[in-house]
Amino acid sequence: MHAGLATSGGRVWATLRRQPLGMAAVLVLSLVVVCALFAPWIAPYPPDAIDLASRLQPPSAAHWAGTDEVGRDILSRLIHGARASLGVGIGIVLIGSSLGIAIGSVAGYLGGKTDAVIGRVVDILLAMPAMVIALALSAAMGPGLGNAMIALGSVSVPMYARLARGQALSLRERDFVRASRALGAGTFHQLKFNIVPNLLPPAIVFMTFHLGSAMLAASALSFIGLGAQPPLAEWGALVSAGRGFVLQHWWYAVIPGLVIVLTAAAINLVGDVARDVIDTRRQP
Amino acid sequence: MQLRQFARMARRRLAAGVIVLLGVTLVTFFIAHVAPGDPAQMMAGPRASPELVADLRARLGLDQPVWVQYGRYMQRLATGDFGQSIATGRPALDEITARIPATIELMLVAMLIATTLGIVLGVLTAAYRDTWVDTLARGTSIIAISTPTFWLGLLLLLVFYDWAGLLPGSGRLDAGLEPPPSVTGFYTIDALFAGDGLALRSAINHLVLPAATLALGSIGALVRVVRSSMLEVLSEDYIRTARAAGLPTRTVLLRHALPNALIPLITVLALELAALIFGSVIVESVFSWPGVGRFVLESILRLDFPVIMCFTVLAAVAYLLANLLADVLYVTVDPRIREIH
Repeated sequence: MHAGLATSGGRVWATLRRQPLGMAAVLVLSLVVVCALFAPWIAPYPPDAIDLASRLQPPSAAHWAGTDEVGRDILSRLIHGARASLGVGIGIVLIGSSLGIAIGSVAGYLGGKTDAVIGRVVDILLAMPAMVIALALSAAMGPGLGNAMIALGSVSVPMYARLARGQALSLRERDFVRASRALGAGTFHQLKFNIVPNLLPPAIVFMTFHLGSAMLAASALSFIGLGAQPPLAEWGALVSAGRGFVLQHWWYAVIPGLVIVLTAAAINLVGDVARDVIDTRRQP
Repeated sequence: MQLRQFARMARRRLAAGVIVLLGVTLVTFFIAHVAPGDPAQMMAGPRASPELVADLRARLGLDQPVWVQYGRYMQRLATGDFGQSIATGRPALDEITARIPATIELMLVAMLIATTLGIVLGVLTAAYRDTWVDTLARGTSIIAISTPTFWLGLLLLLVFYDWAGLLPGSGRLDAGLEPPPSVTGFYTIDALFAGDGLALRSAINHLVLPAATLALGSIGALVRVVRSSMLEVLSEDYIRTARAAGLPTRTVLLRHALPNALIPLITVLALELAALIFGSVIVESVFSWPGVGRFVLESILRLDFPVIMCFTVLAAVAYLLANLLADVLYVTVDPRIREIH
């Protein structure tokens, strides 16, 4: 196991060296993560510090990204917003993956009637327009970033369930799993030590790409007023707040949007790197 | 393929579709139950006596077991009864159907833009595989996937409406213009029928920005599919034969490879409908487009649940039908699939 980790670390490095864009993406994403973790220490101003004397200032040395309609520093709100935006994205991925992988791996490993029922239900759920369902669900639960996260997380459960089920179906026929079963390993032991750890690599690749789209989806819900509520600084909500001023004070809506694009693009590129590293079949 | 085989395949798909449809109603029924507020209390008003509310609950069937309520819900759906819009008092279904042509017109133009660009970029990236063209197109498609629709809409509005003054930023027609007499509900086509050049130009101008915004989300996915499908087809024997016979590259690519490479596009376009429906909610609100999406967003903000649920069911049904149609079309155009069935 340790040897495996060491070689995969080496593979990450080798892949990154061949892909300068991937390297840049890792740097951008690290910056966002650092901002999210240490926001109060990095941000030049408190995110809610109102300063009516300097309302709607364009970008300047004092306010790199300008100020909003009550004089709050937009850069500071963006730095704090990394917590909400990245956090909600991670929350969505964790809700979807934990439930989906649990359901899918049990179905795939057990097979038989359990699998037939779960598989059919998953197929039905996958045939529905997920974002539309998430929209209705989050409207029904009421505005709020937590509710948006639950709505977007739950509609992603079937995707993970399908992925995990497929992997579990093939893993349970592998020799090491059969051997373990012959030695008397119970279902829980099998799932915990043999099935789930081995289906994680492809799941992690999927989770990376999902993080990007989940973050975008959550920011879209915030933009239309269902996600983050004022005064919480979240990137989609910042664009939404700047929307009313976009024609006179373009930076207010444009800069937060740019941050979303950069972060989402970085996540997608990191996903490409993760796929190259993990999917050894594609290696020359 | 024999007609009988085809009919059997179509029947099986249809049966699967009915099951999914039942699933959709279960999910929407569940969501309607999650919704906050007691419908009886809402209908009776805040100052109604508890007896009146209890009476209303009984009349609405809210005191019945859940499965009885679901049965009634299904009965109402079957007759197209989604309840009244709380805001306007008119049937939710009527409110939505009245706005469908505006939304479909927008979606069709967006799909046209996305498909055209997706095919052109996809073919280019496959033809110039691993060159700078490929890298550039791949970068573009990553940015396209990573750009939030709502932000792109604002950006286009800023650049083309405010700074350049080239295109209008809201609505379907210039102020002062009368909509052409309604035949299809699509302003472009109705203006064409009416021979109204002014309205036609105005309608097209108003479509450009929202349709381009809506198209963006799908372009990335389409480029990827066309590229990988082209690469697969280009490695086939018959393409090598065509090349060996000395046919010009352009002919090989466009006449021999492209038609086969486009088949997977059918499925992807049907799947992209989900993104377009959700995207329309956002794009229509950014560009004040008087369609279903904007109305639904307004309904969401004022908690008008009959409208929200009606929209959700209709969207799911449209998505389902599009995917069914795609399945059938796929089999019709690709003889290889028929062997399997």
